Amino acid sequence: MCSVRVVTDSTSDLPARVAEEWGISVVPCYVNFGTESYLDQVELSRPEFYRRLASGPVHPTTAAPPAGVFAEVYQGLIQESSGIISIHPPDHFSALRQAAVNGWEMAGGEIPYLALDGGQVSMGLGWIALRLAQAAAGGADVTALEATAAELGARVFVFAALESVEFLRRSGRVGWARGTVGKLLRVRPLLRVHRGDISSLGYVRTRQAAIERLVAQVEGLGDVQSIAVLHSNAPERADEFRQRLAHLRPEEQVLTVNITPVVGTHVGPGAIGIAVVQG
Amino acid sequence: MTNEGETGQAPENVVLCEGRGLKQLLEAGMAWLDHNHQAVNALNVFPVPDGDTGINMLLTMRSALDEIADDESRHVGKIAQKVAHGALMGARGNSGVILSQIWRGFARQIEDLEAFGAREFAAAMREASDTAYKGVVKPVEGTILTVIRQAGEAAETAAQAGDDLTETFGKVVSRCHQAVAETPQLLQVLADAGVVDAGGQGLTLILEGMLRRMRGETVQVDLQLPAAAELEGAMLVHVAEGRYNYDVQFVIKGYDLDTPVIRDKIDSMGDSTLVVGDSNTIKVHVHVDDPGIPISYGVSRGTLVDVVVENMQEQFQEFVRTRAAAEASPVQLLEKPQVEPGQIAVVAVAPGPGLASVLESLGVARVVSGGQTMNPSTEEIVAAMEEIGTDKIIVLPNNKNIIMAAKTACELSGKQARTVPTRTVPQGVSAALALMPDGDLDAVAEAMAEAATEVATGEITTATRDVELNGVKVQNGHYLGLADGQICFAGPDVAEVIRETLDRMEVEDRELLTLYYGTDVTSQDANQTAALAQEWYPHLEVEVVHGGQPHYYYIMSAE
Repeated sequence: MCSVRVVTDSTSDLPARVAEEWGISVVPCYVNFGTESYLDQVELSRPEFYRRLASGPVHPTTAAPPAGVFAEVYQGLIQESSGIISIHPPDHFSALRQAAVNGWEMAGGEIPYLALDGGQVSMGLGWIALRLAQAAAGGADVTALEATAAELGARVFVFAALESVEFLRRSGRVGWARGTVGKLLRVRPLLRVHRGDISSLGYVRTRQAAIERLVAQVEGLGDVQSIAVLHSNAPERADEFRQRLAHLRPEEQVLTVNITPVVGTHVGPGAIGIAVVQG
Repeated sequence: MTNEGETGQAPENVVLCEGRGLKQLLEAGMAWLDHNHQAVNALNVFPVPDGDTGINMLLTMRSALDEIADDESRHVGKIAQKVAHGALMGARGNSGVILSQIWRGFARQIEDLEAFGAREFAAAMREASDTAYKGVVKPVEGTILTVIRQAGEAAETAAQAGDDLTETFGKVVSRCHQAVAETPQLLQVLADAGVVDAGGQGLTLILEGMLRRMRGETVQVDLQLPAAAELEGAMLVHVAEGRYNYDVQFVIKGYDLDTPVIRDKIDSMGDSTLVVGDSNTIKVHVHVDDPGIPISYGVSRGTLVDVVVENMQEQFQEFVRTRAAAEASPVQLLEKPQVEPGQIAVVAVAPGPGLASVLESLGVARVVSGGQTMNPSTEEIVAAMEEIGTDKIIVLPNNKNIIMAAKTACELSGKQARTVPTRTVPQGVSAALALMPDGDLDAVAEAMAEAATEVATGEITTATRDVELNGVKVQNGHYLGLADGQICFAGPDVAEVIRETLDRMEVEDRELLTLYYGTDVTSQDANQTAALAQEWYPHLEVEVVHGGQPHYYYIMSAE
């Protein structure tokens, strides 16, 4: 008896070995520098991406893969699955879910299929995809998994501290970042992603204060089950942050990811964050 | 006053005081304070350009009397109520706020009276004292509070002895002088600075002016402060300014100098005359309108050295000018933050246009201009609160001397308002960053107060007199560094003072240094200072921001 398979995209930041272990298919996004286009993590490493983001004359854009790429992935899975759950970032930030739905129409499978708005980004989305794959391995069907995803959506949080408001403002996707904050004085915005909403947690001026405020946010959730430390090409600061979280979870159980360029483009280099599942 | 005619002469003693009488008394009290307010300003514990107690109390009184300018009511209770309201709205600085509390208590006690006599006056003074004490979270003795309390006690004792209001007032005033003289024994910082308490002195002057009016003595001409106020070591050199504009000092060197002749001549030119010395050296001090007259005369007697001419009106004029400039500030580069009804908005006080812009850029809805030497009134803060389209307000006073006015404004505004008692602009910036407009008011206020504690503040200014405080010898005119409000270093070399102040701010353990430079510093100078700071502390991220504050070369924030 074959099970439901989980598909996500590279914005989930799921490490390759984790995806492989649980049979999760990860569709790569595109990163464009001007007219040059690269497949995320396939043709362009993340350190290289952030190097070019910080120094290059061209501001990168990111793009959802064409529906055809999804269709190919789905076609490869149809024969060996009892259904497919495809989970992606919020619709109002990205066209990924739409591309997935179009790809499914092209693939023309007969098995149950759902494309979900995960309401999350980076490992926030990754944790949901992983839990869904674990539940699917335990025999859950598409309907049960949809309920699981909804329930998880309420418990998954991403908190982040950026180096400045500049990239967020330039991206234009977050209303509260459009004001004047950070124009006269260096400030580091703190933000929370939950159920598709990116909200401001205020601002701090130093990296140390940023870490303390992120830790306080996580502690405020009570028990947490899974922790991933996120960074946009700031591995040393991610290490520091992970050590500061040791009282919540042994360091070896904390995943660390250099976040997806799709998000990195909007937050800029040097950001740190955390994706947790509330207990 | 029942025994007093419209001429204002009151040669006989007063038994009852009704509305118009109180008005006349208060006018006299204000006039007397006005003539002596610079002497009160000089009673500054810190040798820094600071909130001037004399001016703050005077402006508070002026606001109180504006309220009854056209009121000829005989009902003393009604007049007093209006005075209390005016004082409350115009209160500036901590001393002004306490003064307004005094009038509030006074007015409450006589609310229903047509006129008051000695007993009622005593009860009102007692109530004034109680109200003043209640208005302060942690009452400190050796301040205006001690003086009003003793005034109340003296009034009660005197009223029991007889119903003569003038006599009661006289005893009150003489007890006030004594209480003021004793303030340095109660408050170490006063003793260290060699001054008596300025707020207590201001209150005494007001009551004394009132007494002079009752006794039919003039308050319109300059007179020396009574002997009781001339304390050893107190900064009471400028005892009787007001009529004359210039304070002139010089030393005449010559031979066969006739001190009494020169004294008479100098005295005929102005007032506050001090001429001392011997036949070879005479020290001259006089207040005049034309400094050229005494100086020319001095030159005719011998060689002049150590000539100092000070414009005594300048400080007040500068205060007025700075405020006007701040109010007319063209710096409106940034859009004002939008506040929705139900959201929390912040009103902050800032001493310069650059600092105002910084605060606005962080989401502060209204900035009230004011700071070290120009404390905004309660009313200005209330007005700013009322302009905002939400009923949840947090006020950031950003100066220790504005905290009380901010708290009073919160009480008066009719909105749900909280004061986060920030003592410096950097604390205010930190607090503003923690604003969550959609949060719970108390929780947000608490988070902002917490954030304010996370920053160290340094200030670099010029010492305004010689003093030794906190073991630091301060020389007039030298650069002076303060770390979190405490004097930490003084000297002639600005770089050294900055470095020592940074050291005292423990920037070694900090990450980010922000230099807000004032009106007396160019951006090039500020950048050079930043480069120096970077050299001294390579680990720091250093940021240079235009503050535009007067008097303070730099306000520094370390986080």
